[in-house]
Amino acid sequence: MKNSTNRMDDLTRRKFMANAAKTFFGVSIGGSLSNLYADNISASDTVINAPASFGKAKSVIYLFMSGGMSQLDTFDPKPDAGEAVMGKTETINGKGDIRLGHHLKKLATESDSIALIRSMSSTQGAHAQGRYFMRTGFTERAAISHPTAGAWVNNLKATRNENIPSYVTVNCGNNHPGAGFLPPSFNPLPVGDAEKGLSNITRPSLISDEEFDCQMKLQKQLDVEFDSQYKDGYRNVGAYNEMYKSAIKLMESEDLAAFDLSKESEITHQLYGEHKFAKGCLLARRLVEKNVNFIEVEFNGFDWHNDNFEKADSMLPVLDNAVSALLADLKIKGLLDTTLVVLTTEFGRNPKINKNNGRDHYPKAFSCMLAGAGIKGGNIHGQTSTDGSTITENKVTATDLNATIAHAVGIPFNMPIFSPSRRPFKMGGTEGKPIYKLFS
Amino acid sequence: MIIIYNQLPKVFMIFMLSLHISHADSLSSKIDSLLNTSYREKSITPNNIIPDSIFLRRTFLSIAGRIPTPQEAKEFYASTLENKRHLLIDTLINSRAYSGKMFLFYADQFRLKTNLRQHGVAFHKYLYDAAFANKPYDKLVKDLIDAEGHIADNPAVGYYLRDRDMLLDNVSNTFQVFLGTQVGCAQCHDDPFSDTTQLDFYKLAAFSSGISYDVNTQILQKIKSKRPTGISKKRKSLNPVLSVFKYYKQNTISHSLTTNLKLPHDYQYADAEPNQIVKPAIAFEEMPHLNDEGAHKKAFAQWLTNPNNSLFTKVLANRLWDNVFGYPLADTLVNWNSRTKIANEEVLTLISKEIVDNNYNVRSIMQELYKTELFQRAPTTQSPAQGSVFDFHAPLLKRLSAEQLYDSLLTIKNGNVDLLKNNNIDDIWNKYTRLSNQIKTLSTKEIFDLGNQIIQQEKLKNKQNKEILLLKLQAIKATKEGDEALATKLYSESKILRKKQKNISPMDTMTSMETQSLEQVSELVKFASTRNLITKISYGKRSYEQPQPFYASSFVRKFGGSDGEISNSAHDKASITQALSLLNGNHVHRLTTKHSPLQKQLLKINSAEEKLNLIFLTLYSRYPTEKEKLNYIEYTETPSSLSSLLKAMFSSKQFLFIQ
Repeated sequence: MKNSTNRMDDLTRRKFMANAAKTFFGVSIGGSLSNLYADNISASDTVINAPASFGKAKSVIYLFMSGGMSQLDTFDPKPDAGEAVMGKTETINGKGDIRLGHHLKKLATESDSIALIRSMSSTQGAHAQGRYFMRTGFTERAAISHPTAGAWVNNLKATRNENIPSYVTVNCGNNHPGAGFLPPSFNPLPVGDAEKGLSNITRPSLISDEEFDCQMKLQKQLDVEFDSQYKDGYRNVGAYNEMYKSAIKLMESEDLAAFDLSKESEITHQLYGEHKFAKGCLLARRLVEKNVNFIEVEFNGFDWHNDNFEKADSMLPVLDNAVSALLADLKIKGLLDTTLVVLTTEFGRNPKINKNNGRDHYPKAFSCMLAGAGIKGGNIHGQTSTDGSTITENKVTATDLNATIAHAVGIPFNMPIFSPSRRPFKMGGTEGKPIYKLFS
Repeated sequence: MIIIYNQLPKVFMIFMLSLHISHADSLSSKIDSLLNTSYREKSITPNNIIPDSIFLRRTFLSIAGRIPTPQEAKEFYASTLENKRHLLIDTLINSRAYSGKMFLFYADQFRLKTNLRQHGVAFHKYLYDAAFANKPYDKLVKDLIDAEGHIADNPAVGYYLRDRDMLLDNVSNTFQVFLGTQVGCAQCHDDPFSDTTQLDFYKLAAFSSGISYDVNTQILQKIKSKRPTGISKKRKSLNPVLSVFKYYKQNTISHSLTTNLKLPHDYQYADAEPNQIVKPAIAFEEMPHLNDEGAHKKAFAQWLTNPNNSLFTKVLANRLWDNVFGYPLADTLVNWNSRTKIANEEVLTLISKEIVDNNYNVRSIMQELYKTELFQRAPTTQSPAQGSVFDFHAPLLKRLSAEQLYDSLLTIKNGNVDLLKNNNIDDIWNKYTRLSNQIKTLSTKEIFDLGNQIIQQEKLKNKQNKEILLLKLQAIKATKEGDEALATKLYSESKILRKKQKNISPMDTMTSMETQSLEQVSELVKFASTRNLITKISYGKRSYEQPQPFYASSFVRKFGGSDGEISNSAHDKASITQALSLLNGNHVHRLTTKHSPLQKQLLKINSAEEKLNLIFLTLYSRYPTEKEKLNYIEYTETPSSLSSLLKAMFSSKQFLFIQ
């Protein structure tokens, strides 16, 4: 029997606990309290029985299909349900038991690296709430903002590259919960357009070092009184100090080139594709190479209430191309074993095609995809009925998915972290459990 | 902006003064007295009244959405009138800038997307005109809910078209925005956290069930009845007509009483059967009266905006309060239920009553909220815990909204530009409505001619597209084979072809549309084959003159401007990209270099103190304190040190926040 926390990759357990306590209680803790935490964790059988896959992932690439991706036309086609359910989408075979919608040809050839969860289920059928739930594992509440998986990972895992933010989002819309109640330093660096990279990253040409130092000195001076009045009472006031610090660190970073896609060859660009989402995937790979812990790339436009099959024709090849290129590229570079790739969405689509030839929201049963970092390829977890309408095996929720990410990354999914209002929260929510079977 | 406290004749000033003195029974005084009672009861000491220097900046930003110009600031400080604060509020609330601010408020709530298809710009025009005319809020909502027809005749249909083929989502949003009620969960299942069941939701949605997004059949019927001789009765022969109305017809909302809403096929509860037809009903309030002759949505619109529907008015009062003081009176903006806590029930009831008595005149309510003592108090130093009720001993400290920041930088660059209009949006809209009307006057034969014209052009375009694609494929192949020169040549050929394609003249083929000039035909062809109406940003104009939302990587979006996807999506959360933008971005940089208008102006001033005065007036809207003079006067000496000071001030919190 091994205690999983002994295998956390960068921090010793003690340091890790102390960090967490410092962050949330604003205090440093001594031996007794950290032991208390350690006991809590070792008492939890789910972690004790964790397989060797614990902590294989150094980085996570989280691909979010915004709008609600159709599981029927992608990862859970239902060939026996006929045209009423499948419309124009045909089923193709991948490796092992994997069957995919016919647009995902390239992913089918990469399917020895991917595992599917076909039994995702959510209770949130509206976009905003659905996104919030999938990203955080909690339903949206007025009284608190919950952290996203990316913020959890960075809170519980050491930063591996001090030169560059360890949580980056690409093309994510407003309302991204980011750090939630965690300190603002766990908010992601938002990149609007991967192709354009980071803007305003260099000082205007005529500003000398002295002038810049003078400016920063003056700014601090101007802020002294304001900070003394409002910093403690308003999270956002202190947050700006953090952001300026991070911005300056980033400006001086040696790793800025990671954001410059023009450094990639024409062939690589072609491999991923021309679409914004494809460029985001390429940027994610570059950031993984620079030891960024968590990168989220959003692909929006999946809300196919009408003309489902025309939209599938135009968007799914983009998805297929970019994601298969990402997997192949990570593999070639030897990064797939240490990178967890997750593809998910806010909810699925109704198996019943509506009168506008579209599919309406369907949180009850949908799919997501995982790859890399010890994920067993060709593996399918969970199952839906022949017509796709209900889950018949192994229901999975957003909290389970987050717990699975925690497991892959090597952090405890069930360690309570306290919000500023002193309420305990866990990355895996109240009930989430890692799906160990997904790993080899 | 003409500041009336300096410009108006004395008689008028005295009249205004007397108005204020006699206003002990005004809404603002009543709110103050209720708040004062609550302070006494709870032994709370309210915060002090702020000095002019903070009041001026707060008031300009809150009402006009920008900081004042140095001139406007000087005039305010120079005035010795006792009620100059209220006079400033009166002036600003009657300005274009206030209407613009309200337009942005509506745009964020109603998820406006100006460049969405053709109906986006229609909805933009509707909301813009409504905000600038201070349209009574209940009328505005009635217009949206009861909207029917084509955008050219009734641009309010843009509200439904925004969610084309997503009626259930539209219903969720309607309830969230107008009734502050989240019924979204019940779209798929009974909501465990409220009393709304899935059946309730479908009953609500049934009010709008007759809505259809397409008038395909009506147009076809009209054409069929006028079928010219020689045209066969086959559907295919009507293709020219279909191509004329291809996009036009996507901009109509019609309503039929015969369309029924059914429960989903997998409905799981015992209170009804799957696929069962649902009749409209409202579970949590009194039912509106329905008759079979009138459209259900009209009854719904009337019920929604009826003064007896207390939630509708309360939700509005709560939102306006939040807009003015930075925090809602209730513990929520969008999730009202039986457990909702309200900071001061009497205040909410009072404002709601006043809204009804004032016929939903939002401007007059806002004016009174700004005139409260509460608005003049120093901000609380401790923000309330998220989702709690606040005692309102003070307003909250707020970061400038993205638009306030954008417009303040613009004001520093160009002065007061509140009156400048973005004509591009009007031009595009006017042309669209003109051609929409024109197309309706065409004879049947002309419609067929026009349709044939469009079909021919499409064929030509498709052919060219294929050629372009072929060239590109060849180019990719050449790249793979290492022949860079050939690849470049092929790419440039494809670009030339693409350019040519944009300039196809409709007169390449014949037309027999006698009543139309060549130019008109060309215009009509373009009109009928254009899918999206794209309006453009007009630089140098206020944020409320721009298409909404701003594009994703823009300055405004970086600072949390609405994305138009979800109601109330604007935010003020700090990010690294904002810090980078303030430190290095051109929006700030160009205002600080030695070539900037401000530095040029400073050059003309000899006295260092005067220079510092102008700098502080321009950025912080106040004069520097003695201590600040001591600290910063040396930086007025050279253009370089001036740049450093200006940049530091732009990125300082005193600039980024409203105290």
